[in-house]
Amino acid sequence: MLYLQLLIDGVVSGCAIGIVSISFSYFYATTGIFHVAHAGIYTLSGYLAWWMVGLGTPFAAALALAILAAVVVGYLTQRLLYRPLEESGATPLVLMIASIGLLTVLQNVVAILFSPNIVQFDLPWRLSHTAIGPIALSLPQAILGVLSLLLFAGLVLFSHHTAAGKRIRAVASNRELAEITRLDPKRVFAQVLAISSGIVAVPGVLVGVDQALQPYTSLLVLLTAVVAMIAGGIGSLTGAFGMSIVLAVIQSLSVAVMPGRWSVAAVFGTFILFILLRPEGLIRSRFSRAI
Amino acid sequence: MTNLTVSNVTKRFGGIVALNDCSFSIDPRRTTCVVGPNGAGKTSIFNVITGFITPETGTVAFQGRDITRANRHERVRQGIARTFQNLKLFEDLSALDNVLVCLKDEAGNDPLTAMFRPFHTAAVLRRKKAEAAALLVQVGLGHKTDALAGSLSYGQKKLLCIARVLATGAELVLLDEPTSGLAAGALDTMVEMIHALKRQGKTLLIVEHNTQIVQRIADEVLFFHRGHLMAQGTPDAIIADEELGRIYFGKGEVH
Repeated sequence: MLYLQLLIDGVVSGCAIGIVSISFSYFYATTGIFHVAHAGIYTLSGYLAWWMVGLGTPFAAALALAILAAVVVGYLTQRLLYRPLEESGATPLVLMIASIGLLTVLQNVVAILFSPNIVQFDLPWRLSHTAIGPIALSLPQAILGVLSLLLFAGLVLFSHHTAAGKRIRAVASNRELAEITRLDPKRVFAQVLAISSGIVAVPGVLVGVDQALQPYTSLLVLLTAVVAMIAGGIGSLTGAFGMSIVLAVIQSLSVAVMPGRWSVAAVFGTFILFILLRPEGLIRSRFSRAI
Repeated sequence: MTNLTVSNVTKRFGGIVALNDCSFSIDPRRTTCVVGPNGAGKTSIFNVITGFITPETGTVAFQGRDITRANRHERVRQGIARTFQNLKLFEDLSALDNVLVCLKDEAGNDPLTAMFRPFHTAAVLRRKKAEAAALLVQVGLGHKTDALAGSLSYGQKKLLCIARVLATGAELVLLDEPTSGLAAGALDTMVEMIHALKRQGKTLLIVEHNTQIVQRIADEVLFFHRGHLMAQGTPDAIIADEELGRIYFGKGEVH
């Protein structure tokens, strides 16, 4: 029974990491920018929602506003940071360092504006549980799981079955050609970062509701998400989402067989094994880009 | 009205003069072939017209508007599109999607509409798919709509490049060596394709080496040599010119 509970906990937190992973991967595969500041947007959206809930905003409205704020911050990041840098000929390394800088700024802005301490949402329902047979699932976990699956399916559908999604894939496939057809890569990049940021706000808020918010821990979440992206095959949303769940389940189950402090090591150990055995990732990527 | 006017364009790469004070104009609905030996400046003139290189001096005007410094996709929006010697395609996308993403944008195609008005977006996509499929049929790739562009044969990729260019709705279409490397059958298909484009009223500018094909497709020929525009005239006049023949085919052997 314990294993089943740990498995379900792992799946839910895997869904959250999966959303971080696919949103990061979507931007990375399209632009080649290693957008570390994604973790900052994740943190910022959580604290924004927490602050609004504290002011008496209904949770659904706070979530929606946090998503909206993340969309705006993402869009501005592309327009005011990455785009000017790229236009002045910055290398991918320079862009990544700029991104790390932005992450630091966002984390500290959160700490200054809101709180440098661990905070919890003041929502009575966050502790309510539903029992499905022998498994207990908290309400935030249930919402997180359902929304994550919806977002994952939505992004895959958008990417493959809308003209806008196909354009983004076209830009990812051949940026130079995109520039000389009707596609405007710079506009597409800003759209992609806006979409990715809006998506990552969902786990940013809901993981905060389920557990707690901390300004400086989101980098570990992003790291796990990036590991899942690489192991899943860069450019494959399904691979990234699937691997996120696998890694989170391993982390969760490892608690049953080894001390908790080793659980992160279990994840990265799995990753090293995986990358040795299947370096091209779970789902062989059709994108030419790779780390 | 003149469609494209190139005036006094000069471009150097280091010590090499790629284009030296070139001036010419092209009337709408005409097919003009650009010929000349290797290194004559044929691709350079394409690059100047499509915005891949900016000339040091001189101007390029399209439909009366100066586009010398316009960026590449602005030129596409104004109706200039090109293919490349080394084929450029979205290799990870299907043939249909390659064409579809180049079609004119229309309302209802942005991510927000996709989220909040999915049925509208789906309707737009259906319309665009039909439009793209019609273009594929036009270039003779109607049976390859779902194949990945990267998996097509060389000749099919060349045809797909043309469909991609047509999808942009361009009036001025530049084809860089459309028949090179094609086997006899595919070559005839390509020539037929070019005639079809002429019938549709496109203005064509084509780099072409094969003089027989030039005679089959061209209304006019621009002859380049070492960055100079040596002559502009009808295909027969250019091919009959002995001096140009010597330059093109080497000394002493006039075809």
